Amino acid sequence: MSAEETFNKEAANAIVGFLKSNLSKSGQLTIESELKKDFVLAKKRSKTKKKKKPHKKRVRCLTRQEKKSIGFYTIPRNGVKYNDVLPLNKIWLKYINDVLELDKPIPDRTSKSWETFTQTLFRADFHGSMLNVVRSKCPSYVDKCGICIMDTRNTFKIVSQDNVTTTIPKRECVFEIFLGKQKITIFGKNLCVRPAERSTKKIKGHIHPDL
Amino acid sequence: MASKEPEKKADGNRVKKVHGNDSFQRMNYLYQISKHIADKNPALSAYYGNLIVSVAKKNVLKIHPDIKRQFCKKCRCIAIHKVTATMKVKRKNKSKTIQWTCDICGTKRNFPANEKHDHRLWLEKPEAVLEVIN
Ligand SMILES: [Zn+2]
Repeated sequence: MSAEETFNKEAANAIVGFLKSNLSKSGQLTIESELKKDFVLAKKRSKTKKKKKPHKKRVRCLTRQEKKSIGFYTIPRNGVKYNDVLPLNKIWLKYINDVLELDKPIPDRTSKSWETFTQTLFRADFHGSMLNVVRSKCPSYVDKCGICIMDTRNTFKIVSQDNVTTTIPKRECVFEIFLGKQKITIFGKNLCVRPAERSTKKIKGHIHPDL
Repeated sequence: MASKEPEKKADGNRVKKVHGNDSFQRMNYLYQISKHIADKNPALSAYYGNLIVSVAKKNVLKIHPDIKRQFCKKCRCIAIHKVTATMKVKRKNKSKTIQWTCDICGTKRNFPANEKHDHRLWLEKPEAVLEVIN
Protein backbone atom coordinates (compact mmCIF):
# COMPACT_ATOMS: atom_id res chain seq x y z
CA MET A 1 0.00 0.00 0.00
CA SER A 2 2.68 2.44 1.06
CA ALA A 3 4.75 1.61 -2.00
CA GLU A 4 1.80 2.35 -4.19
CA GLU A 5 1.20 5.64 -2.44
CA THR A 6 4.79 6.78 -2.88
CA PHE A 7 4.57 5.76 -6.52
CA ASN A 8 1.40 7.84 -6.91
CA LYS A 9 3.05 10.82 -5.26
CA GLU A 10 6.05 10.55 -7.49
CA ALA A 11 3.78 10.36 -10.51
CA ALA A 12 1.84 13.42 -9.38
CA ASN A 13 5.07 15.35 -8.81
CA ALA A 14 6.31 14.35 -12.21
CA ILE A 15 3.10 15.58 -13.85
CA VAL A 16 3.26 18.90 -12.01
CA GLY A 17 6.91 19.33 -12.97
CA PHE A 18 6.14 18.50 -16.58
CA LEU A 19 3.30 21.01 -16.71
CA LYS A 20 5.40 23.71 -15.08
CA SER A 21 8.19 23.33 -17.55
CA ASN A 22 5.99 23.16 -20.64
CA LEU A 23 3.12 25.57 -20.03
CA SER A 24 3.07 29.17 -21.07
CA LYS A 25 3.57 31.88 -18.47
CA SER A 26 -0.11 32.70 -18.14
CA GLY A 27 -0.92 29.05 -17.57
CA GLN A 28 1.71 28.56 -14.90
CA LEU A 29 0.02 30.86 -12.46
CA THR A 30 -3.19 28.87 -12.38
CA ILE A 31 -1.72 25.38 -12.33
CA GLU A 32 -2.38 24.77 -8.69
CA SER A 33 -5.99 25.81 -8.68
CA GLU A 34 -6.71 24.06 -11.97
CA LEU A 35 -5.32 20.78 -10.65
CA LYS A 36 -7.52 20.92 -7.59
CA LYS A 37 -10.69 21.33 -9.58
CA ASP A 38 -13.51 18.93 -8.75
CA PHE A 39 -15.31 17.09 -11.48
CA VAL A 40 -18.91 16.32 -10.80
CA LEU A 41 -18.90 12.62 -11.50
CA ALA A 42 -15.28 11.91 -10.64
CA LYS A 43 -14.61 9.15 -8.17
CA LYS A 44 -11.92 10.99 -6.28
CA ARG A 45 -12.28 14.45 -4.92
CA SER A 46 -9.44 16.80 -4.22
CA LYS A 47 -8.78 17.38 -0.56
CA THR A 48 -9.44 21.08 -0.31
CA LYS A 49 -11.07 21.44 3.06
CA LYS A 50 -14.17 23.51 3.17
CA LYS A 51 -14.36 25.70 6.21
CA LYS A 52 -16.88 24.32 8.58
CA LYS A 53 -18.96 26.65 10.61
CA PRO A 54 -18.04 26.43 14.26
CA HIS A 55 -20.55 23.97 15.63
CA LYS A 56 -22.27 25.35 18.65
CA LYS A 57 -22.30 22.96 21.55
CA ARG A 58 -25.75 22.14 22.74
CA VAL A 59 -26.16 21.54 26.42
CA ARG A 60 -27.77 18.20 26.84
CA CYS A 61 -29.40 16.73 29.85
CA LEU A 62 -27.36 14.45 31.98
CA THR A 63 -27.33 10.88 30.85
CA ARG A 64 -28.54 8.25 33.19
CA GLN A 65 -25.03 7.12 33.99
CA GLU A 66 -23.85 10.62 34.79
CA LYS A 67 -26.82 11.09 37.05
CA LYS A 68 -26.02 7.86 38.78
CA SER A 69 -22.41 8.85 39.32
CA ILE A 70 -23.47 12.09 40.98
CA GLY A 71 -25.83 10.15 43.19
CA PHE A 72 -29.24 11.11 41.93
CA TYR A 73 -30.96 7.84 42.45
CA THR A 74 -29.38 6.47 45.54
CA ILE A 75 -30.44 8.35 48.59
CA PRO A 76 -28.57 6.60 51.36
CA ARG A 77 -30.54 5.20 54.23
CA ASN A 78 -29.24 7.73 56.69
CA GLY A 79 -28.51 10.49 54.18
CA VAL A 80 -31.36 12.87 54.91
CA LYS A 81 -31.85 14.40 58.31
CA TYR A 82 -35.34 14.84 59.65
CA ASN A 83 -34.60 18.38 60.78
CA ASP A 84 -33.57 19.31 57.26
CA VAL A 85 -36.90 18.35 55.77
CA LEU A 86 -39.02 19.74 58.57
CA PRO A 87 -39.19 23.20 56.91
CA LEU A 88 -40.49 21.51 53.77
CA ASN A 89 -43.46 20.31 55.78
CA LYS A 90 -44.15 23.85 56.95
CA ILE A 91 -44.11 25.18 53.39
CA TRP A 92 -46.23 22.27 52.28
CA LEU A 93 -48.92 23.03 54.84
CA LYS A 94 -49.18 26.59 53.53
CA TYR A 95 -49.27 25.35 49.98
CA ILE A 96 -51.97 22.77 50.58
CA ASN A 97 -53.98 25.38 52.47
CA ASP A 98 -53.87 27.60 49.39
CA VAL A 99 -54.71 24.86 46.97
CA LEU A 100 -57.56 23.19 48.80
CA GLU A 101 -58.87 26.43 50.35
CA LEU A 102 -59.03 24.80 53.73
CA ASP A 103 -60.18 27.96 55.45
CA LYS A 104 -63.54 27.37 53.83
CA PRO A 105 -65.55 24.42 55.12
CA ILE A 106 -64.83 21.17 53.35
CA PRO A 107 -67.66 20.47 50.87
CA ASP A 108 -70.19 17.78 51.51
CA ARG A 109 -69.63 14.37 50.02
CA THR A 110 -72.78 14.54 47.93
CA SER A 111 -72.39 18.09 46.64
CA LYS A 112 -70.92 19.08 43.32
CA SER A 113 -67.88 20.77 44.74
CA TRP A 114 -66.81 17.52 46.36
CA GLU A 115 -65.57 16.32 43.02
CA THR A 116 -63.43 19.39 42.40
CA PHE A 117 -62.10 19.07 45.92
CA THR A 118 -60.94 15.51 45.38
CA GLN A 119 -59.63 16.46 41.95
CA THR A 120 -57.44 19.23 43.35
CA LEU A 121 -56.24 16.95 46.11
CA PHE A 122 -55.29 14.37 43.54
CA ARG A 123 -53.46 16.96 41.47
CA ALA A 124 -51.60 18.46 44.39
CA ASP A 125 -48.02 17.71 45.22
CA PHE A 126 -47.17 15.34 48.03
CA HIS A 127 -43.50 16.16 48.50
CA GLY A 128 -43.10 17.40 52.00
CA SER A 129 -46.32 15.99 53.35
CA MET A 130 -46.52 14.13 56.61
CA LEU A 131 -47.58 10.58 55.87
CA ASN A 132 -48.63 7.78 58.12
CA VAL A 133 -49.25 4.25 56.97
CA VAL A 134 -52.52 3.03 58.42
CA ARG A 135 -52.98 -0.31 56.75
CA SER A 136 -50.75 -2.36 54.53
CA LYS A 137 -50.51 -5.81 53.11
CA CYS A 138 -47.09 -6.05 54.64
CA PRO A 139 -47.37 -5.65 58.40
CA SER A 140 -43.92 -4.15 58.89
CA TYR A 141 -44.93 -0.99 57.03
CA VAL A 142 -47.85 -0.25 59.34
CA ASP A 143 -47.39 2.78 61.59
CA LYS A 144 -44.44 4.15 59.65
CA CYS A 145 -44.67 7.89 59.88
CA GLY A 146 -42.59 10.55 58.21
CA ILE A 147 -42.17 13.33 55.68
CA CYS A 148 -42.32 12.40 52.03
CA ILE A 149 -39.29 13.52 50.04
CA MET A 150 -39.65 11.55 46.84
CA ASP A 151 -42.68 10.44 44.92
CA THR A 152 -42.29 7.92 42.14
CA ARG A 153 -44.86 5.98 40.22
CA ASN A 154 -45.11 3.14 42.65
CA THR A 155 -43.36 4.29 45.78
CA PHE A 156 -43.08 7.01 48.36
CA LYS A 157 -39.79 7.76 50.06
CA ILE A 158 -40.26 9.04 53.56
CA VAL A 159 -37.90 10.29 56.22
CA SER A 160 -38.97 9.27 59.69
CA GLN A 161 -38.09 11.03 62.90
CA ASP A 162 -35.05 8.87 63.56
CA ASN A 163 -33.46 10.04 60.27
CA VAL A 164 -34.08 6.79 58.43
CA THR A 165 -35.26 6.91 54.83
CA THR A 166 -37.71 4.19 53.89
CA THR A 167 -39.29 3.32 50.59
CA ILE A 168 -42.95 2.41 50.79
CA PRO A 169 -44.90 0.86 47.92
CA LYS A 170 -48.08 2.80 47.28
CA ARG A 171 -50.27 0.11 45.91
CA GLU A 172 -50.53 -2.04 48.97
CA CYS A 173 -50.91 0.68 51.55
CA VAL A 174 -53.48 3.06 52.95
CA PHE A 175 -52.07 6.43 53.94
CA GLU A 176 -53.11 9.10 56.35
CA ILE A 177 -52.12 12.66 55.48
CA PHE A 178 -52.06 15.35 58.13
CA LEU A 179 -53.25 18.78 57.04
CA GLY A 180 -52.79 20.74 60.18
CA LYS A 181 -55.98 19.96 62.03
CA GLN A 182 -57.58 17.61 59.53
CA LYS A 183 -56.58 14.17 58.49
CA ILE A 184 -57.20 12.61 55.10
CA THR A 185 -57.14 8.92 54.43
CA ILE A 186 -56.03 7.95 50.95
CA PHE A 187 -55.81 4.60 49.29
CA GLY A 188 -52.36 4.44 47.78
CA LYS A 189 -53.77 2.49 44.89
CA ASN A 190 -55.30 5.66 43.48
CA LEU A 191 -51.99 7.48 43.46
CA CYS A 192 -50.10 5.09 41.24
CA VAL A 193 -49.29 7.63 38.56
CA ARG A 194 -46.07 9.44 37.87
CA PRO A 195 -45.99 12.70 39.81
CA ALA A 196 -45.62 14.87 36.72
CA GLU A 197 -48.42 13.17 34.86
CA ARG A 198 -50.81 13.24 37.74
CA SER A 199 -51.63 16.89 37.20
CA THR A 200 -53.06 16.21 33.76
CA LYS A 201 -54.89 12.99 34.52
CA LYS A 202 -58.40 12.62 35.79
CA ILE A 203 -59.26 10.39 38.65
CA LYS A 204 -62.46 8.41 38.84
CA GLY A 205 -64.67 9.40 41.71
CA HIS A 206 -65.10 5.97 43.11
CA ILE A 207 -62.70 3.14 42.88
CA HIS A 208 -63.78 0.18 44.88
CA PRO A 209 -61.05 -0.74 47.29
CA ASP A 210 -59.91 -4.30 47.49
CA LEU A 211 -60.49 -6.00 50.72
CA MET B 1 -43.76 33.03 41.40
CA ALA B 2 -44.35 31.38 38.07
CA SER B 3 -45.47 33.61 35.23
CA LYS B 4 -49.02 34.65 35.70
CA GLU B 5 -49.64 37.71 33.61
CA PRO B 6 -50.73 37.12 30.04
CA GLU B 7 -53.41 34.47 30.33
CA LYS B 8 -56.96 33.93 29.27
CA LYS B 9 -60.06 35.10 31.04
CA ALA B 10 -62.30 32.75 32.87
CA ASP B 11 -65.81 32.83 31.52
CA GLY B 12 -68.44 35.23 32.74
CA ASN B 13 -68.66 36.84 36.11
CA ARG B 14 -67.18 33.99 38.08
CA VAL B 15 -64.03 34.30 40.05
CA LYS B 16 -61.24 34.85 37.59
CA LYS B 17 -58.70 32.08 37.67
CA VAL B 18 -55.62 31.66 35.61
CA HIS B 19 -55.62 28.70 33.32
CA GLY B 20 -53.53 25.97 34.88
CA ASN B 21 -53.56 27.70 38.23
CA ASP B 22 -53.03 24.59 40.31
CA SER B 23 -50.04 23.59 38.21
CA PHE B 24 -48.55 27.04 38.65
CA GLN B 25 -49.06 26.74 42.37
CA ARG B 26 -47.44 23.35 42.31
CA MET B 27 -44.44 24.62 40.39
CA ASN B 28 -44.16 27.53 42.76
CA TYR B 29 -44.15 25.19 45.72
CA LEU B 30 -41.59 22.90 44.10
CA TYR B 31 -39.38 25.89 43.40
CA GLN B 32 -39.51 26.90 47.03
CA ILE B 33 -38.59 23.49 48.37
CA SER B 34 -35.91 23.09 45.75
CA LYS B 35 -34.33 26.27 47.00
CA HIS B 36 -34.74 25.20 50.60
CA ILE B 37 -33.06 21.82 50.30
CA ALA B 38 -30.24 22.95 47.99
CA ASP B 39 -27.58 23.48 50.64
CA LYS B 40 -28.29 20.20 52.39
CA ASN B 41 -28.95 17.82 49.55
CA PRO B 42 -28.27 19.05 46.00
CA ALA B 43 -29.44 15.79 44.48
CA LEU B 44 -32.92 16.26 45.89
CA SER B 45 -32.92 19.86 44.71
CA ALA B 46 -32.13 18.67 41.22
CA TYR B 47 -34.90 16.11 41.49
CA TYR B 48 -37.42 18.83 42.30
CA GLY B 49 -36.03 20.98 39.50
CA ASN B 50 -36.53 18.13 37.09
CA LEU B 51 -40.08 17.77 38.32
CA ILE B 52 -40.83 21.45 37.69
CA VAL B 53 -39.71 21.12 34.10
CA SER B 54 -41.68 17.95 33.54
CA VAL B 55 -44.83 19.40 35.11
CA ALA B 56 -44.49 22.45 32.86
CA LYS B 57 -44.01 20.22 29.85
CA LYS B 58 -46.99 18.02 30.64
CA ASN B 59 -49.32 20.95 31.15
CA VAL B 60 -47.87 23.02 28.28
CA LEU B 61 -47.07 25.98 30.50
CA LYS B 62 -44.20 28.38 30.31
CA ILE B 63 -41.81 28.88 33.16
CA HIS B 64 -40.99 32.50 33.83
CA PRO B 65 -37.47 33.23 32.56
CA ASP B 66 -36.39 34.51 35.95
CA ILE B 67 -37.19 31.13 37.44
CA LYS B 68 -35.89 29.17 34.52
CA ARG B 69 -32.56 30.92 34.57
CA GLN B 70 -31.96 29.92 38.14
CA PHE B 71 -31.85 26.26 37.27
CA CYS B 72 -28.76 24.67 35.82
CA LYS B 73 -29.43 23.68 32.25
CA LYS B 74 -27.92 20.28 32.60
CA CYS B 75 -28.66 18.87 36.00
CA ARG B 76 -31.48 21.26 36.86
CA CYS B 77 -30.18 21.93 40.30
CA ILE B 78 -30.96 25.40 41.54
CA ALA B 79 -28.04 27.79 41.36
CA ILE B 80 -27.26 29.72 44.51
CA HIS B 81 -24.02 31.66 44.68
CA LYS B 82 -21.40 29.97 46.86
CA VAL B 83 -23.72 27.07 47.64
CA THR B 84 -24.31 25.14 44.48
CA ALA B 85 -22.81 27.49 41.92
CA THR B 86 -20.28 30.26 41.50
CA MET B 87 -20.95 33.54 39.80
CA LYS B 88 -18.34 35.62 38.05
CA VAL B 89 -18.42 38.82 36.05
CA LYS B 90 -16.32 38.43 32.93
CA ARG B 91 -15.05 40.98 30.51
CA LYS B 92 -14.59 40.21 26.86
CA ASN B 93 -14.08 42.81 24.14
CA LYS B 94 -15.42 45.58 26.33
CA SER B 95 -18.62 43.68 26.98
CA LYS B 96 -19.53 42.24 30.30
CA THR B 97 -21.10 38.87 30.89
CA ILE B 98 -22.18 37.14 34.04
CA GLN B 99 -20.98 33.58 34.16
CA TRP B 100 -22.60 30.98 36.33
CA THR B 101 -20.73 27.74 36.90
CA CYS B 102 -22.61 24.83 38.36
CA ASP B 103 -20.61 23.08 41.06
CA ILE B 104 -22.33 19.76 40.59
CA CYS B 105 -21.94 19.09 36.88
CA GLY B 106 -19.63 21.94 35.89
CA THR B 107 -21.82 23.53 33.25
CA LYS B 108 -21.18 27.16 32.45
CA ARG B 109 -23.85 29.63 31.55
CA ASN B 110 -23.42 33.17 30.30
CA PHE B 111 -25.76 36.09 30.56
CA PRO B 112 -25.02 39.42 28.90
CA ALA B 113 -24.78 42.35 31.27
CA ASN B 114 -23.80 45.57 29.58
CA GLU B 115 -24.62 48.93 31.02
CA LYS B 116 -25.12 50.49 27.62
CA HIS B 117 -27.47 47.91 26.15
CA ASP B 118 -30.99 47.20 27.11
CA HIS B 119 -30.97 43.56 28.08
CA ARG B 120 -34.49 43.48 29.39
CA LEU B 121 -36.58 40.56 28.35
CA TRP B 122 -39.88 41.01 26.64
CA LEU B 123 -41.75 39.99 29.76
CA GLU B 124 -40.08 42.70 31.79
CA LYS B 125 -41.18 45.45 29.49
CA PRO B 126 -44.34 47.29 30.46
CA GLU B 127 -46.15 46.63 27.20
CA ALA B 128 -46.04 42.88 27.83
CA VAL B 129 -48.61 43.00 30.59
CA LEU B 130 -52.04 42.53 29.09
CA GLU B 131 -54.14 41.92 32.13
CA VAL B 132 -53.53 41.30 35.78
CA ILE B 133 -55.43 38.45 37.36
CA ASN B 134 -55.37 37.72 41.02
ZN1 LIG C 1 -25.49 21.55 36.90
